[in-house]
Amino acid sequence: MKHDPFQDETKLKERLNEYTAEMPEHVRNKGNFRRFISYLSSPTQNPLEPIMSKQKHLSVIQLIPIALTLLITFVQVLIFF
Amino acid sequence: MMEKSVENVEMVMDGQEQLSIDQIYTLYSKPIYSFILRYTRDEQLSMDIVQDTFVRFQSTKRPYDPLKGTLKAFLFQMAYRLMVNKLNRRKKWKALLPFLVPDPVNERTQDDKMTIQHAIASLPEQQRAVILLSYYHDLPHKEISKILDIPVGTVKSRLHSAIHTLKKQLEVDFHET
Repeated sequence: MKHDPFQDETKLKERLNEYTAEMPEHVRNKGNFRRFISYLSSPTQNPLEPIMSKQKHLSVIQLIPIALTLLITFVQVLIFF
Repeated sequence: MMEKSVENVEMVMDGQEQLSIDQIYTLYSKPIYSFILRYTRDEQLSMDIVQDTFVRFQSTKRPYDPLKGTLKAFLFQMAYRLMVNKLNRRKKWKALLPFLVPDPVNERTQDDKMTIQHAIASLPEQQRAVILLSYYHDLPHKEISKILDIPVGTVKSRLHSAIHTLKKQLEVDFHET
Protein backbone atom coordinates (compact mmCIF):
# COMPACT_ATOMS: atom_id res chain seq x y z
CA MET A 1 0.00 0.00 0.00
CA LYS A 2 1.30 3.43 -0.97
CA HIS A 3 1.85 5.77 1.95
CA ASP A 4 0.91 9.38 1.32
CA PRO A 5 3.19 11.60 3.42
CA PHE A 6 0.70 14.49 3.13
CA GLN A 7 -2.29 12.47 4.31
CA ASP A 8 -2.34 13.84 7.85
CA GLU A 9 -0.96 17.26 6.98
CA THR A 10 -4.23 19.12 6.40
CA LYS A 11 -2.93 22.52 7.45
CA LEU A 12 0.24 22.18 5.44
CA LYS A 13 -1.77 21.08 2.39
CA GLU A 14 -3.96 24.18 2.70
CA ARG A 15 -0.88 26.38 2.69
CA LEU A 16 0.73 24.50 -0.18
CA ASN A 17 -2.46 24.88 -2.24
CA GLU A 18 -2.18 28.65 -1.89
CA TYR A 19 0.89 28.55 -4.14
CA THR A 20 -0.42 28.71 -7.70
CA ALA A 21 1.75 29.10 -10.78
CA GLU A 22 0.09 30.02 -14.06
CA MET A 23 2.01 29.89 -17.31
CA PRO A 24 1.65 32.88 -19.64
CA GLU A 25 0.30 32.13 -23.12
CA HIS A 26 3.19 33.63 -25.11
CA VAL A 27 5.89 31.17 -24.00
CA ARG A 28 6.17 29.20 -27.22
CA ASN A 29 8.33 30.10 -30.21
CA LYS A 30 10.51 32.65 -28.53
CA GLY A 31 13.63 33.17 -30.61
CA ASN A 32 17.15 33.81 -29.39
CA PHE A 33 16.87 37.50 -30.29
CA ARG A 34 13.78 37.92 -28.10
CA ARG A 35 15.52 36.04 -25.31
CA PHE A 36 18.47 38.41 -25.55
CA ILE A 37 16.13 41.42 -25.45
CA SER A 38 14.38 39.93 -22.40
CA TYR A 39 17.78 39.46 -20.76
CA LEU A 40 18.72 43.08 -21.48
CA SER A 41 15.42 44.37 -20.12
CA SER A 42 15.47 42.18 -17.01
CA PRO A 43 16.08 44.03 -13.75
CA THR A 44 19.61 43.83 -12.39
CA GLN A 45 21.21 45.01 -9.23
CA ASN A 46 22.82 48.42 -9.15
CA PRO A 47 26.54 47.74 -8.54
CA LEU A 48 26.85 51.04 -6.65
CA GLU A 49 23.81 50.44 -4.45
CA PRO A 50 25.71 49.45 -1.28
CA ILE A 51 27.87 52.54 -1.66
CA MET A 52 25.00 54.89 -2.49
CA SER A 53 23.05 53.97 0.61
CA LYS A 54 25.14 56.36 2.70
CA GLN A 55 25.42 60.10 2.06
CA LYS A 56 29.10 60.03 2.94
CA HIS A 57 29.83 57.42 0.28
CA LEU A 58 27.81 59.38 -2.27
CA SER A 59 29.98 62.40 -1.67
CA VAL A 60 33.07 60.24 -2.14
CA ILE A 61 31.77 59.04 -5.52
CA GLN A 62 31.12 62.63 -6.59
CA LEU A 63 34.56 63.73 -5.48
CA ILE A 64 36.49 60.89 -7.15
CA PRO A 65 36.38 62.41 -10.71
CA ILE A 66 37.47 65.79 -9.36
CA ALA A 67 40.33 64.20 -7.44
CA LEU A 68 41.37 62.21 -10.51
CA THR A 69 41.29 65.33 -12.69
CA LEU A 70 43.44 67.19 -10.20
CA LEU A 71 45.88 64.28 -10.04
CA ILE A 72 46.20 64.06 -13.83
CA THR A 73 46.67 67.83 -14.04
CA PHE A 74 49.36 67.67 -11.36
CA VAL A 75 51.17 64.85 -13.21
CA GLN A 76 51.06 66.86 -16.45
CA VAL A 77 52.40 69.92 -14.66
CA LEU A 78 55.27 67.85 -13.25
CA ILE A 79 56.09 66.43 -16.70
CA PHE A 80 56.04 69.67 -18.70
CA PHE A 81 57.54 72.12 -16.19
CA MET B 1 9.66 7.72 -47.07
CA MET B 2 11.41 10.75 -45.63
CA GLU B 3 8.12 12.31 -44.60
CA LYS B 4 7.10 9.13 -42.86
CA SER B 5 10.31 8.94 -40.78
CA VAL B 6 9.96 12.57 -39.71
CA GLU B 7 6.36 11.90 -38.72
CA ASN B 8 7.46 8.92 -36.65
CA VAL B 9 10.01 11.03 -34.81
CA GLU B 10 7.28 13.52 -33.93
CA MET B 11 4.95 10.86 -32.51
CA VAL B 12 5.79 9.56 -29.04
CA MET B 13 4.22 6.80 -26.99
CA ASP B 14 2.94 8.01 -23.62
CA GLY B 15 1.61 5.02 -21.75
CA GLN B 16 -0.89 3.34 -24.08
CA GLU B 17 -1.46 6.26 -26.46
CA GLN B 18 0.62 7.84 -29.16
CA LEU B 19 0.97 11.60 -28.88
CA SER B 20 2.21 14.27 -31.25
CA ILE B 21 4.71 16.91 -30.11
CA ASP B 22 1.87 19.45 -29.98
CA GLN B 23 -0.16 17.21 -27.70
CA ILE B 24 2.85 16.55 -25.50
CA TYR B 25 3.52 20.28 -25.26
CA THR B 26 -0.10 20.98 -24.32
CA LEU B 27 -0.03 18.24 -21.69
CA TYR B 28 3.31 18.90 -20.03
CA SER B 29 4.42 22.50 -20.67
CA LYS B 30 2.33 23.93 -17.83
CA PRO B 31 3.42 21.37 -15.21
CA ILE B 32 7.08 21.89 -16.18
CA TYR B 33 6.67 25.67 -16.08
CA SER B 34 5.03 25.60 -12.66
CA PHE B 35 7.72 23.26 -11.30
CA ILE B 36 10.55 25.50 -12.49
CA LEU B 37 8.75 28.67 -11.38
CA ARG B 38 8.10 27.31 -7.90
CA TYR B 39 11.70 26.13 -7.69
CA THR B 40 13.41 29.29 -8.96
CA ARG B 41 10.73 32.01 -8.61
CA ASP B 42 12.04 33.35 -11.91
CA GLU B 43 9.40 33.69 -14.63
CA GLN B 44 11.85 34.41 -17.42
CA LEU B 45 14.03 31.45 -16.58
CA SER B 46 10.96 29.19 -16.28
CA MET B 47 9.74 30.18 -19.75
CA ASP B 48 13.21 29.60 -21.22
CA ILE B 49 13.49 26.19 -19.57
CA VAL B 50 10.09 25.10 -20.93
CA GLN B 51 11.16 26.07 -24.43
CA ASP B 52 14.61 24.50 -24.10
CA THR B 53 13.13 21.29 -22.75
CA PHE B 54 10.90 20.79 -25.78
CA VAL B 55 13.64 21.81 -28.21
CA ARG B 56 15.97 19.28 -26.61
CA PHE B 57 13.22 16.66 -26.49
CA GLN B 58 12.86 16.89 -30.26
CA SER B 59 16.59 16.96 -30.99
CA THR B 60 17.99 14.64 -28.35
CA LYS B 61 20.22 11.76 -29.44
CA ARG B 62 18.80 9.60 -26.65
CA PRO B 63 15.06 9.59 -27.36
CA TYR B 64 12.38 8.68 -24.87
CA ASP B 65 12.08 4.95 -24.15
CA PRO B 66 8.66 3.99 -22.68
CA LEU B 67 10.23 0.94 -21.01
CA LYS B 68 12.47 3.13 -18.84
CA GLY B 69 9.70 5.24 -17.31
CA THR B 70 6.89 7.66 -18.03
CA LEU B 71 7.11 10.49 -20.51
CA LYS B 72 6.27 12.94 -17.74
CA ALA B 73 9.29 11.82 -15.69
CA PHE B 74 11.50 11.94 -18.80
CA LEU B 75 10.49 15.54 -19.56
CA PHE B 76 10.77 16.63 -15.93
CA GLN B 77 14.24 15.10 -15.74
CA MET B 78 15.27 16.99 -18.86
CA ALA B 79 13.86 20.25 -17.52
CA TYR B 80 15.44 19.72 -14.10
CA ARG B 81 18.88 19.12 -15.61
CA LEU B 82 18.58 22.17 -17.86
CA MET B 83 17.54 24.26 -14.86
CA VAL B 84 20.40 23.02 -12.67
CA ASN B 85 22.90 23.73 -15.45
CA LYS B 86 21.52 27.25 -15.94
CA LEU B 87 21.52 27.97 -12.22
CA ASN B 88 25.11 26.72 -11.89
CA ARG B 89 26.14 28.92 -14.81
CA ARG B 90 24.44 31.86 -13.14
CA LYS B 91 26.30 31.16 -9.92
CA LYS B 92 29.60 31.31 -11.82
CA TRP B 93 28.63 34.60 -13.48
CA LYS B 94 27.51 35.93 -10.15
CA ALA B 95 30.91 35.16 -8.66
CA LEU B 96 32.62 37.00 -11.51
CA LEU B 97 30.19 39.89 -12.04
CA PRO B 98 27.81 40.01 -9.07
CA PHE B 99 25.79 43.00 -10.31
CA LEU B 100 24.83 41.38 -13.63
CA VAL B 101 22.74 38.58 -12.18
CA PRO B 102 19.63 39.58 -10.24
CA ASP B 103 19.06 37.60 -7.07
CA PRO B 104 15.34 36.93 -6.58
CA VAL B 105 15.99 35.70 -3.03
CA ASN B 106 17.08 39.18 -1.98
CA GLU B 107 14.07 40.81 -3.63
CA ARG B 108 11.63 39.46 -1.07
CA THR B 109 9.50 41.91 0.82
CA GLN B 110 8.46 41.74 4.45
CA ASP B 111 4.96 40.51 3.53
CA ASP B 112 6.53 37.78 1.43
CA LYS B 113 8.09 36.24 4.52
CA MET B 114 4.64 35.11 5.65
CA THR B 115 3.88 33.18 2.50
CA ILE B 116 4.26 29.59 1.44
CA GLN B 117 6.34 30.87 -1.49
CA HIS B 118 8.96 32.09 0.94
CA ALA B 119 8.81 28.89 2.97
CA ILE B 120 9.43 26.77 -0.14
CA ALA B 121 12.15 29.08 -1.44
CA SER B 122 13.89 28.83 1.93
CA LEU B 123 14.11 25.05 1.75
CA PRO B 124 17.47 23.54 0.75
CA GLU B 125 17.53 22.94 -3.02
CA GLN B 126 17.47 19.14 -2.69
CA GLN B 127 14.43 19.16 -0.40
CA ARG B 128 12.66 21.79 -2.51
CA ALA B 129 12.76 19.70 -5.68
CA VAL B 130 11.45 16.63 -3.85
CA ILE B 131 8.48 18.35 -2.22
CA LEU B 132 7.51 20.18 -5.42
CA LEU B 133 7.56 17.01 -7.50
CA SER B 134 5.79 14.98 -4.86
CA TYR B 135 3.03 17.39 -3.84
CA TYR B 136 2.31 19.59 -6.86
CA HIS B 137 3.03 17.04 -9.58
CA ASP B 138 1.93 13.90 -7.77
CA LEU B 139 4.95 11.92 -8.90
CA PRO B 140 5.75 8.64 -7.13
CA HIS B 141 9.03 8.30 -5.24
CA LYS B 142 10.48 6.04 -7.92
CA GLU B 143 9.99 8.65 -10.65
CA ILE B 144 11.30 11.44 -8.44
CA SER B 145 14.41 9.36 -7.81
CA LYS B 146 14.92 9.04 -11.58
CA ILE B 147 14.38 12.74 -12.21
CA LEU B 148 16.78 13.83 -9.48
CA ASP B 149 19.13 10.88 -9.99
CA ILE B 150 19.08 9.87 -6.32
CA PRO B 151 18.02 6.64 -4.53
CA VAL B 152 14.37 6.15 -3.53
CA GLY B 153 15.38 6.08 0.15
CA THR B 154 16.94 9.53 -0.22
CA VAL B 155 13.72 10.82 -1.82
CA LYS B 156 11.76 9.59 1.21
CA SER B 157 14.13 11.10 3.74
CA ARG B 158 14.32 14.42 1.88
CA LEU B 159 10.54 14.56 1.62
CA HIS B 160 10.21 13.87 5.32
CA SER B 161 12.77 16.57 6.13
CA ALA B 162 11.06 19.03 3.76
CA ILE B 163 7.65 18.49 5.36
CA HIS B 164 9.18 18.88 8.81
CA THR B 165 11.01 22.09 7.82
CA LEU B 166 7.94 23.57 6.11
CA LYS B 167 5.71 22.84 9.09
CA LYS B 168 8.22 24.36 11.44
CA GLN B 169 8.67 27.46 9.31
CA LEU B 170 4.96 28.02 8.70
CA GLU B 171 4.17 27.57 12.37
CA VAL B 172 6.73 30.27 13.11
CA ASP B 173 5.03 32.48 10.54
CA PHE B 174 1.63 31.86 12.16
CA HIS B 175 3.04 33.05 15.47
CA GLU B 176 4.55 36.12 13.82
CA THR B 177 1.17 37.13 12.33
